[in-house]
Amino acid sequence: MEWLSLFKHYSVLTIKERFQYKLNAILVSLAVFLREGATIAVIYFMLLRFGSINGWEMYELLFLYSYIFFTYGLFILFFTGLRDFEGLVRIGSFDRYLLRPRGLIFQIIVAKVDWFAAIGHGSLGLLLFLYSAFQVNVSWSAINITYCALAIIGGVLIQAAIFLLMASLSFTFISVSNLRQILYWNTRKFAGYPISIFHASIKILLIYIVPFAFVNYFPSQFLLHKTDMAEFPALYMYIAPAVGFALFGLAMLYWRYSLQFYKSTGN
Amino acid sequence: MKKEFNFSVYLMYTKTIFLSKLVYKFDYVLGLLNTCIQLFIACLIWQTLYGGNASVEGISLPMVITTIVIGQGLSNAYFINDQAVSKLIKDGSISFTLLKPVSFRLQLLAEALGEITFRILSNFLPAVIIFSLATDVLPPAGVLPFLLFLISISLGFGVLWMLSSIVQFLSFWVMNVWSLSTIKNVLITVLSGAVIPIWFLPEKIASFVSYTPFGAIYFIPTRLYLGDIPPAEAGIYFTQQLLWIIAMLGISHLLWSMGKQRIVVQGG
Repeated sequence: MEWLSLFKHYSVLTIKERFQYKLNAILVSLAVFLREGATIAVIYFMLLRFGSINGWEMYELLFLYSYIFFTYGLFILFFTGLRDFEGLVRIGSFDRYLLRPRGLIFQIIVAKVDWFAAIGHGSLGLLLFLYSAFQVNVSWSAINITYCALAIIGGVLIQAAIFLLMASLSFTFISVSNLRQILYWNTRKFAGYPISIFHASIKILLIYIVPFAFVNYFPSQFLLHKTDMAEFPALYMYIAPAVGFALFGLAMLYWRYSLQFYKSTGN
Repeated sequence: MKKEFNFSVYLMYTKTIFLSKLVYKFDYVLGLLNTCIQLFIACLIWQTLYGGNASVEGISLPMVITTIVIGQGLSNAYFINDQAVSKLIKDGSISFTLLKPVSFRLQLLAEALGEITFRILSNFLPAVIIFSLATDVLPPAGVLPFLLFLISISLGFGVLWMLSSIVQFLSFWVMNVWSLSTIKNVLITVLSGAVIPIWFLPEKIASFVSYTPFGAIYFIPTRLYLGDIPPAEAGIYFTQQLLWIIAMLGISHLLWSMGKQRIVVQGG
């Protein structure tokens, strides 16, 4: 249980660091919460006027969206270090990690546990999820609950795998922020809506290249059974939780392989 | 110290920033790609929402698409760094800036205009051309509406600039203005009509917006462009925009004069 006490220790450190400026810490959480809430407000207002989008009604869309926030909230709690990894390589402080007697991924995870941002994102995701989960037409049987929990873990791991891949690439390219902007942040903008409304090329992008569809669309379909699922293989709903585990495993292998190319940029 | 106003000095600031932006060609391509993707998603969503209906509550789909392309396209071009003043205060260089014989606030505006001119030419106009060819972006309702649009859009920028300067000058009191700036941007996103046209906001919220400066940034100009506001009534809306600029200039000036007194330079 030594890793747990280290995790706790680092968490306390980052929280203390943030609480140096109390007002600021609270304002940052509030700002993150509102920023993500703005997207929801826009969808809410749109559907208030238009009723539904491609057969998806208000609560179903909110349910779909809540996966994005909830998984991202969990993701930044554990993987902020991975998201900001490029900076570590650029200023050379990754060298310090290499010298310490603990696993690298473990250190990257615990050194930057971001509770405040996680609360901003996660609480919105959780509120939205709980709010919509009982409004949509889903019977919360033991199977559905288990599926849902696994799908959320899978969704976190898919995003972790994308960022781990970026981190691995930063050994060889150093600057990956542009790539990340296009691959992750832009793709995420599509993912809030049912992917069936998009052009075929975007569907391919969201299913096979940056598989956000497995974070929220297919898991939601497993529970909601909307008619627009007909155009995708039904298998995708069942394997959705496993995709994250598989991708993260692959990304780990690539990370191990890439580590040997690491050259310090520090001086 | 008396600061003389010399227009060419400020023009130099604008020009310098404009030229420095030309260097980063990859950023420019990426920026255009970003804008196009964003507008593309928005258009698709509105198309799906309309689902073949010619018009909803008297508003046609092309009107919505035009509103979105102008509003979101421009909001991408209007790059204003809300943290510029905050950074100068943190690293203490604000003291040098204040000693220069130019007005600091006009310098900020001149620099922002350099970047924005660059972005309008390299990002907004190409995106508008692409979307005019690919989707139903409407032409202006006429020559007069277009001229009124140009005046109104400049006033709209003034409103946006004043909102930003209020946030900027709050950094004399708040160490990190990122959160204030984000909250301001959230309000602009939801209430300015750039993402969801104000026609479609719930009535209570739409009437609330009419008491705020947010609708004056993109939405009033776009309505003039579309002819949704008859040219004869343009005067009322110009006055509204001007009053917002003057009111917020007052607040911003007050913050600036009070803030200057309490500068504590950290570090040496």
